[in-house]
Amino acid sequence: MSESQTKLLYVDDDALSREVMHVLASRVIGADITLLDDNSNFMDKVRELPAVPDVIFLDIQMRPYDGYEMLKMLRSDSTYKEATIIAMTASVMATDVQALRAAGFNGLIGKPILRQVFPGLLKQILTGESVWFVS
Amino acid sequence: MRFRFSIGQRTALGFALMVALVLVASSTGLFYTRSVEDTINATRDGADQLESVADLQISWLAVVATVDNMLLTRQTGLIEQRLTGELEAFNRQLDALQAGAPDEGGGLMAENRPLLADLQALGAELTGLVNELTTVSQEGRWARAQTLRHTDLASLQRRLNTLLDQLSTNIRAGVQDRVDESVRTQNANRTYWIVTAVLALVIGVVAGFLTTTSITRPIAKLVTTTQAIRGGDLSRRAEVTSQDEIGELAQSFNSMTDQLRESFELLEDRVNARTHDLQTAAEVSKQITTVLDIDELLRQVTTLTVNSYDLYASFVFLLRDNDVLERVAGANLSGTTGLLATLHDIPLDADPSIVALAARTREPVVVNDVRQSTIHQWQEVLPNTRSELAVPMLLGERLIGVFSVQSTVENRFSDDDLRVLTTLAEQIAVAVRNAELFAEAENARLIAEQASQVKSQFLANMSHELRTPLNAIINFTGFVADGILGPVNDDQLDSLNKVINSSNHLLSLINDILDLTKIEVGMMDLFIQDVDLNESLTSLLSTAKGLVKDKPIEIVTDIEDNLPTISGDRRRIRQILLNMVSNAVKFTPEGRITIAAKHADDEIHLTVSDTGIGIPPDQQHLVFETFRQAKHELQETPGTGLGMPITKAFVEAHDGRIWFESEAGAGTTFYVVLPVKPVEADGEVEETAEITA
Repeated sequence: MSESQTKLLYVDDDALSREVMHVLASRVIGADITLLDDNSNFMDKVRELPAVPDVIFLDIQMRPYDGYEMLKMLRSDSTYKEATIIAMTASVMATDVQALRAAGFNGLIGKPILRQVFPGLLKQILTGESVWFVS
Repeated sequence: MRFRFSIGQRTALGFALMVALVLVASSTGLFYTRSVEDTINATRDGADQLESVADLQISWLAVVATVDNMLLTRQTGLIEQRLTGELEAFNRQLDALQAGAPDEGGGLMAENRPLLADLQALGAELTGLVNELTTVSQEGRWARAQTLRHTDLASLQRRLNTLLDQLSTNIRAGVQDRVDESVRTQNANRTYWIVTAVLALVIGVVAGFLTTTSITRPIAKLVTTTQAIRGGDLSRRAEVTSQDEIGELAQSFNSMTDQLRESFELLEDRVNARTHDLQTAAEVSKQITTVLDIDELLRQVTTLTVNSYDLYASFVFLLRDNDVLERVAGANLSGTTGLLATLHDIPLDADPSIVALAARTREPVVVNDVRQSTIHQWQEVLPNTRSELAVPMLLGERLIGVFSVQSTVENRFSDDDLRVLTTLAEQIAVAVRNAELFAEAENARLIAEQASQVKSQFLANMSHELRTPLNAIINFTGFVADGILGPVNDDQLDSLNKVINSSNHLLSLINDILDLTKIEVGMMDLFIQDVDLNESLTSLLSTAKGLVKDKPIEIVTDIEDNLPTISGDRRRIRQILLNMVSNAVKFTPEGRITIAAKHADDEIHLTVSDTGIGIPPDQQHLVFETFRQAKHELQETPGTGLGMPITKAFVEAHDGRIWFESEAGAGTTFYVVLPVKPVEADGEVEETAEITA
């Protein structure tokens, strides 16, 4: 793990989704990705991370905390107040997208993730562009 | 000028005046005539008397001539007889003259009486002398006779002549006096007559004028007044104060006008009252058409009725279960509080009950004095009710309920009120029915809305539940195909690509179904933003080339430079273009696809034409229908069958138009026209570059 490696955090309770992201991040992009399957004591787990991630991907339909609650927790922490937090969800109806915007997410990448498109989107996100992508 | 006489009296007075004037004039004329007659008489008398004098003179001369004759002839015997005759004639003349001087009335000869006496004496002397002469002659004493003749007789003649001259003079003077006096009288009479005539004329004219004016002026005033009244000014009064027939006429006329005005005012009052009634009815109607909440409506109607018609109370009963009249709204002058709580529902067979009776008979029931009525049911909460009206609320044959009103005044409800309140009752019935229908419709709408929400929620869930496994399928297949997980041979790769394509197709199907559902439930939301069409078309071209792949298809463009930026949903506009092109690619095994775009009249004209298989005429009507792509084509031309219906919905959501021309075997052209500035839609500006797979 080099210092220049992009550090990602992905929280999702769906094992297959976590595995797709793991392959995509580590094998396709070569990024350093941390996967969280259980968001109990979410902020404790976040604070235990060895480094602050460049981008945080959050699933929305989760327990015990859903994506919005996790976002709220992160935003209330000074470290993650301005962090880049992207929703990664299969709930991509227009109303969902509007709710995500209103809640304060920095972007959205809908499931299914398109492996050819994802690297470009991540690049855009890292350069500060707003990305709302629905496949 | 005021007269105290009637026209009859005035006319009679005028007539009498005229008669008097005529009498005065006539009598004056009579006087005049009589004075003329007097003159004539006097003159005639004078002439007669002068004639008598002349006759007397002649008689005298005859006597003298006879005497002379006797003296000359000396034949006494013969002449004596003649002389006696002449003498007698003379004496007769003398008597006649005497007779012309009557004693009565101071006749002409009054002053000549001494002369006549002298003449009488002279006559006697003559007789004596003639007798003496005769005697002397008979005695033959002619000389003596001659002497007598020339002395005494001559003396007598002289005296006679003097007397007669005097008499003639007197008579002439008398006649002259009489004539003069008569002429003076005539002159005076004439003046008097002229004055009288002039006076009569003047008085007649003045009296006639005054009489006429006194009659015509009030009539003229009366006429002016009638014209003013006919012109509508009922406040005008005939100003005729005379106490004659016209005065009476004017008074009658004025009182008639008063009655007319009273009638008018009464009529006006009634019209006003009626207008007020109709305004109230109209207001209630307005409420009825605007208020669909039935409880609110009935509350307003009853309150409005009580207030507008100044009533004691007003109620609406609705028929429930065909046996009970349920009181659903009520108002009295002090407000609705308490009334509803203390009154009970009325069974349809209740007796006595005016409301139930109106409901059973389906006819209005009026009780003009409840204290005299056996059908009125006394209500403690309405102690002051004196009259009551109950009108059935009918909708055709169907009894909806009863509208009842109560007043503290006896005989309050006239036929007009009955009509208005009956109309009101009908309107309330209609409103109740409308409200029922509205409630039913609203209920149906809510159910439909809930159903569509359930549908949307189901599809959202379905989308979520399909996308999650698709994420694994597409990506793991992709990782294998990409060789990330180890080398794959061509056969394996071919199979993996088929999985990937099918998965992508499944994803488009999911997207299309979601879009279509949103369109069907009317929830399609456009994210309006600036859309650079040149950029969109450029990106479309690269996608189109990818779609064509190995097919022998030439892509031709006819795109204007500098197309304007339009307002629209960027993703949907891209989808419109992509659907048109992918549709063309799908149905064109080989040939040419032309993509054209131009700007005209604030509209963008987008055209995609192909030289493909075309659409048979019998299938053209299915193009914009969902899931209607011909099945036999599905093998070769995979598609959801939703593309064109969705495209049409997107175009129309942008206030655009879409249509096509097609010939089987020759190709198809799709036309889309989008306004440069479509109607604003809700939504926020999307900043991202979104890509639809």
